[in-house]
Amino acid sequence: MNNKRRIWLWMSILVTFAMVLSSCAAPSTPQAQPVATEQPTAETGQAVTTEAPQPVATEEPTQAVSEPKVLIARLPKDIGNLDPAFIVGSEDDTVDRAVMEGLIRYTPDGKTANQLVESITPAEDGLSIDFKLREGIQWQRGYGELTTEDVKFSYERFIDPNLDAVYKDDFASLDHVEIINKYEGKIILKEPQATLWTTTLPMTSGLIVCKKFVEEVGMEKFKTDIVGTGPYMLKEWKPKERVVLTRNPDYWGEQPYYDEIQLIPIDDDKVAEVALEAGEVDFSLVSLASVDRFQSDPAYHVDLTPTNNYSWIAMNVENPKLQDINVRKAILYGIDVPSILTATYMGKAPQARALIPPGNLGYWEDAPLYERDVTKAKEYLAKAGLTSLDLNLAVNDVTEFRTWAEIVQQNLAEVGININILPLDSSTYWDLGIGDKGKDVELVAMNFSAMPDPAWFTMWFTCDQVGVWNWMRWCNQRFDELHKLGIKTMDPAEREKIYIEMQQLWDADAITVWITNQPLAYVSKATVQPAMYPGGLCPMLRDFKATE
Amino acid sequence: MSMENTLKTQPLKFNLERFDFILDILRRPQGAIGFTIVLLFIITVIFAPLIAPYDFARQDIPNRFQGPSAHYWLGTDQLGRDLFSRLVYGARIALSVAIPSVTIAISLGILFGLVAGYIGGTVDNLIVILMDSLQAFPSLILSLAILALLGPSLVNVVIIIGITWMPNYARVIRAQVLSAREAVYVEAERSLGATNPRIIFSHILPNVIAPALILAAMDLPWVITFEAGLSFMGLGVRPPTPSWGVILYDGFYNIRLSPWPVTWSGLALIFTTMGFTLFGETLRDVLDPRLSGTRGM
Repeated sequence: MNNKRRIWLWMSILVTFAMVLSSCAAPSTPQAQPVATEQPTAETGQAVTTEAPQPVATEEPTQAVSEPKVLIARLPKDIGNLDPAFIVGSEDDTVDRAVMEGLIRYTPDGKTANQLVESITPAEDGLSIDFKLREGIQWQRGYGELTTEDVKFSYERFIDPNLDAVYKDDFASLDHVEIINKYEGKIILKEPQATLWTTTLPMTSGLIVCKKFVEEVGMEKFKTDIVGTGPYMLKEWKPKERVVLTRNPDYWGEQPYYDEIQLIPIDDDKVAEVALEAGEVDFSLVSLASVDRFQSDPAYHVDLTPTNNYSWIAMNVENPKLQDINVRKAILYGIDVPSILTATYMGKAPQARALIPPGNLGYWEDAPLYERDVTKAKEYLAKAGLTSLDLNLAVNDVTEFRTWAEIVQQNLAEVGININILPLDSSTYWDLGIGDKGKDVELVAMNFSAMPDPAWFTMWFTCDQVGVWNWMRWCNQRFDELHKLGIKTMDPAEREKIYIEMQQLWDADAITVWITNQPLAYVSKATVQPAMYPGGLCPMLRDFKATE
Repeated sequence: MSMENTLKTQPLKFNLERFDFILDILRRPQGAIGFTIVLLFIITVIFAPLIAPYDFARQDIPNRFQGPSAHYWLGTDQLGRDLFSRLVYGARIALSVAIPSVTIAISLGILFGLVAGYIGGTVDNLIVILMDSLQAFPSLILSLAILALLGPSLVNVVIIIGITWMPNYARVIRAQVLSAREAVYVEAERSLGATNPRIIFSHILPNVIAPALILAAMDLPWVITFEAGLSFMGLGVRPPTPSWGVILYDGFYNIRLSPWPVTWSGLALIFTTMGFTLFGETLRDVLDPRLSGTRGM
């Protein structure tokens, strides 16, 4: 090699080395902050990934920038629909309530407080509510100021027959919202509604959506892309990968602690526990079987909270195999629920006996407890004219429900009912009972959560919910009438009677095997101070902090 | 002896009609170990109902996660099921997947290999492209795709393994046929007016099948672990069928509560695959010393 070539070689090596060093060095400019732009996001058809406005670098003098505070939390499943009128699960609640706000809200201590309003006052006859918005609250991404137009749009869309909102019952008594001026308005009701103050206005249905944004992007995109007035903005959603929330720099209220929150969908509790222990997530729901382990480790903080979750095995009464009540009773008496609780929840979960759990208005204290009785189960099967029966049991393919299924399979085999377990991935499972294809469902393991009002438990099982969330496809006119009556009855004692009667109707038709009102165990790193909505429904991300 | 018979038997390197190769295997230490394990495995499979003390699906919830004891020899799983009984029946599942899968793979592989190698030309090219295409997909990915289409079941697992393993056999047979079809005894058959099917099945096949059989013996442990892998991912057999992969999966999820399900199912897989591997390698050394020291393809 001659000298010239050698010099070129060394120069090339030096340049490469310098480039590598420069690429590894910290940026010399301050970390850019997201800024709102005047231009709203253009509709891109199928909403898959949502990007907030790009960070803009400033030319301010260089200053020391602290590391952004990032919280990584687990979502038990991916978001389904962020439109407050159509949310699918608590994951949607979690995201919605970090991004959007309502007139009032629940605080971490379980009380209600004004949020977007300076004042909100119900009339003495319960037929109207006056409210006055705080002035100057801005929508994220430059969609202008929050006004009573947005409130009117947000609430009245629930009663729009063309929209056919899943949660229309939340505003069952709403007549209209009257606009007095830009900031003042009046909610006009057709009749008093007891749930309005407990589960509608302070919860997800009460969130105010941006009229301009929804009209601009359309309903389809609104499922996965939202703007709000809240402390966090939805920065990005990568299906089945992550949801990223970033701090809203123009937030009108107290800034949240974390700059960014990454929500990782992890279906299985056990997988989430491994992620927690590996430091890949800071906060997660875990299985009850693991509570003792985390409680004994000072690196973690455990919150074991009783909840309004309710789990059951649903029997589709429209399916020819299950139309005979004797078959359903054979199943009811054939399943050993205490064994399911022991094997699945390490005995830490109580056995459920009816729809509404203890601690709620409408709890049916004298509800019957069906203990396993194989002889009786066989008698009922014989009454149905059967000696054996083949049934499919669909379950969400996670450890919890697979364990249920294997016990049910073994229990019912002794009765003469052969269970074929169908473990389904999350998205297939949650689509199972929707529409006419729900007619093919036979048995299905289900788990819902509810807001702290009895109407929230009953609303999914009315006739108009058949093919939506009523996967038993059970339709009882009296049940529907009572549901409506319960919502407009303001006297708690009267309401209690109504909801107990509804549960008696339910029980008489033997359409479910109640399993548990499962307490939830949330584990966070010891450095994280979580906050939960009442009943442990979902994390209150905006109020998460670091421990002192 | 006729001229035809002389030509037919002359190039046969290893006589499969002789069973003294079993003795040859047993004379070698690794062969004896492999043979013993395989024999024990087969006995377990055949006599599972007599060996297993309990029904593999019988649950005993109060006694879940038990360690080995006189009552439950290897302990119990998360539903109180006897691990020994589940492992014994799991061996049945392993073999009932492995044997049909390899049979499908070897049958299809021989068919395609014979046709491609003997006919040659465009047919050969098409078959090679087909086999290359199948092999281009990682077998696990291909299996996941097919299972997603057909749904998880034992039969589907067998079909999938058969299809994904088949190109290996096709390539081996094709390579053998390419050299065999030019052999003197084949030329002699042609000159005597033998038909192509007769030449292929009566003369070429017996002379090229041995490497495929050796490959099959060595593939069995792979197939057993592959089935366990699919079951581990929830894509194999349905509950409560006790595949070793399912036991491993359930044990994995409860490993902090009891290490026994993972330990025993893991050991069962290790010993079985080791036994089949040792047996297969010794079989190869005995039947075809030319391939000694090589693995698979």
